[in-house]
Amino acid sequence: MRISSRRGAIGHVGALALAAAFSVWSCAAPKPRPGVGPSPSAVAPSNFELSAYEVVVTPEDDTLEYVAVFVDGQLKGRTEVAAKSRPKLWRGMLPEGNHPMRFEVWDSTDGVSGVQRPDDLQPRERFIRIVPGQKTGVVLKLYDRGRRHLFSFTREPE
Amino acid sequence: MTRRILPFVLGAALFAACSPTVQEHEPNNDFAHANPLPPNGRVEGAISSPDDVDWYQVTIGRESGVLNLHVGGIREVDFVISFRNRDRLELKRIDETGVGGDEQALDLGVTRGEYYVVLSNKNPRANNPAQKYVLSAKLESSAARELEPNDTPLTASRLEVNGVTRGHYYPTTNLLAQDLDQAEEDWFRIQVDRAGVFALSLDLSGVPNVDPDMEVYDLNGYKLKEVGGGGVGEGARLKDFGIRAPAQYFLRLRTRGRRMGNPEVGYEILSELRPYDGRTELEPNDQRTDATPFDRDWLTGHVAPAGDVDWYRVNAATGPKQILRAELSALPGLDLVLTVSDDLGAPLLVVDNGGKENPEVLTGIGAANATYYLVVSEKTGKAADDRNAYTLAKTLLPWQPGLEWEPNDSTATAQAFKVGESVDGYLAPKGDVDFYEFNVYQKGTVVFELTGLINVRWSAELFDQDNRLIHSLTAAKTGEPLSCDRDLDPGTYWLKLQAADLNQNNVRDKYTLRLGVR
Repeated sequence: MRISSRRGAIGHVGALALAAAFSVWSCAAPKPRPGVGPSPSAVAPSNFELSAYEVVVTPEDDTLEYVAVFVDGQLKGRTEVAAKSRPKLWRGMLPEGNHPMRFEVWDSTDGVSGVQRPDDLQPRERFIRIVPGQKTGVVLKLYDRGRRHLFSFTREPE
Repeated sequence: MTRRILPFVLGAALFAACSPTVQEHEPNNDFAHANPLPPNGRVEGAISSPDDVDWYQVTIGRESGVLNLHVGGIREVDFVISFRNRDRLELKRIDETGVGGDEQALDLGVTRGEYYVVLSNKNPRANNPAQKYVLSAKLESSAARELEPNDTPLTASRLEVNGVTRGHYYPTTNLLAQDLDQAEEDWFRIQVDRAGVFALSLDLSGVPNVDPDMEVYDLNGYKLKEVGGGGVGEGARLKDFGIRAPAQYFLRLRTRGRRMGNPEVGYEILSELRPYDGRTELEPNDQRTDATPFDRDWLTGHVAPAGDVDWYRVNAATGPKQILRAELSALPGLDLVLTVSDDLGAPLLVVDNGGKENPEVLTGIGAANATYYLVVSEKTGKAADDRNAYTLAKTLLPWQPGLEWEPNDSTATAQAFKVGESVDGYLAPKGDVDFYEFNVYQKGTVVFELTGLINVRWSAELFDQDNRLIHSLTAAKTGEPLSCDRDLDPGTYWLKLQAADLNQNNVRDKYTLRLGVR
């Protein structure tokens, strides 16, 4: 019993040490790139939803990609990694008001990491209004091999 | 008329004088009793009864040749000439005239050996055994000649490449076809054995009383090009038909009207085959998949026949963003239109600034790592010009920040730019609308300045991000600049520029748009 208590105490101390080390490492480590950041939970409450997809010409073009979401110049998250033609979602809770938003498209070869597309192939930043009591939906359609894009908006009661 | 017929008459008289004449010996009603007919001679015979049939055997003593036959008409007799090979297989049947008329078979292709000429009468009431007919034959060289029968691709004659090929629109009807009323056709084989890309031009001479139609087919029997329709007595031209040799094509000649023909005046097909130098269109280029590669700075082409559409492929996949410019020269009597299409053939921009006999200018369209198509057509689709060529010139210039990027004709394709910057652009072609999108990050007074353009009375509209029109203004008159300032909240805005009269445009001068903040 004593032995097991000691083992348990050692176990707690070890866990605390590991947590502290992880905390130090977390602070020291650079901020995750948009390409490798975690996807937000799909079940969290949200008042904004981005759905992004791309029109591809051939099945060979239907490679992996994801979209990083910047609001007011800050990275808020990214969509899951999926085939270009598949709608990729990001949902979030954003403060009310008119916000400049930028959606960065990243190509992924391994489904984890990504390569940011050149600036001239990125959708331009634009303001999107978050209205109280309403859920704002944005559909981003990329086409013409990613050279052109189209936004469409929806608003529904939360 | 007399001048035209005189040489023929004199020639026939001379031929008659020099040709050996033999007499028909009955019975010659079947091939076993066929009388000899010298290949350069004539025979005198008679139609002893309405159902009398006279067989003659022609022996060809040279490797190849062209045999012409002529029988002079006699009273009450309606002649039919049948030409058969050594196996008595009927190759050609001629029945162009009625009772008392001459009949002639022209351009019969022959090789060494025996052939049969069968002369019969079609009039059941014929009763003229006393009057002699004269059947004459003349053998000529087969070089560069039509060789009848050449009524199908399988029996096509060889077309003299880089030379002149001669033939006749005669007879007018193919009596051996399943459809007894089928018009005569002449088929030629175009054979190019030397490997390479070539441009073939065909010039078909005009023939009195004939409205010709000239078509090119591939080996699968697919029609690739058709020219003609210039009218009776006119010729036809096919310019710069693209050939990726070694290759074989077929040429079909026929008339546009029923029973059109001319036994006296033949046609000539002048062909010119030259290595392709990238300076001309390559027909057929009537659709995207057949587009002529446009690799050089300029090339020439023809809008012919009426309704012709010429596609050119411009490959802009050479690196950074570029601006594609193009100029299309004018053609007399034609209103040309220049269309720019994307790599899938969808039109991006239609340039139709000028009217008839005016050039067209594409002031610039953004080209980024893609294939584009320039399409030349005639506006009405009813006019053509196979004599005069248009010149289409293009340039690809590197795009720089501060230049307009077409297409920017809608909010979806609006060109982004920042407050504090300027952009130079064209308000062209006719009907052009330019959208610019900008963000205002802090509430302030935005100053908007637009330089004046000759031939343009400016109209501008400002929309907010919810597509609400929040401001509009129009220049006092044509050529005047436009400016205003406006207090704007943070947000995304679109500025729409256009001419107050959508027919106004300016392909020569650029405008400058400046946005500042105060």
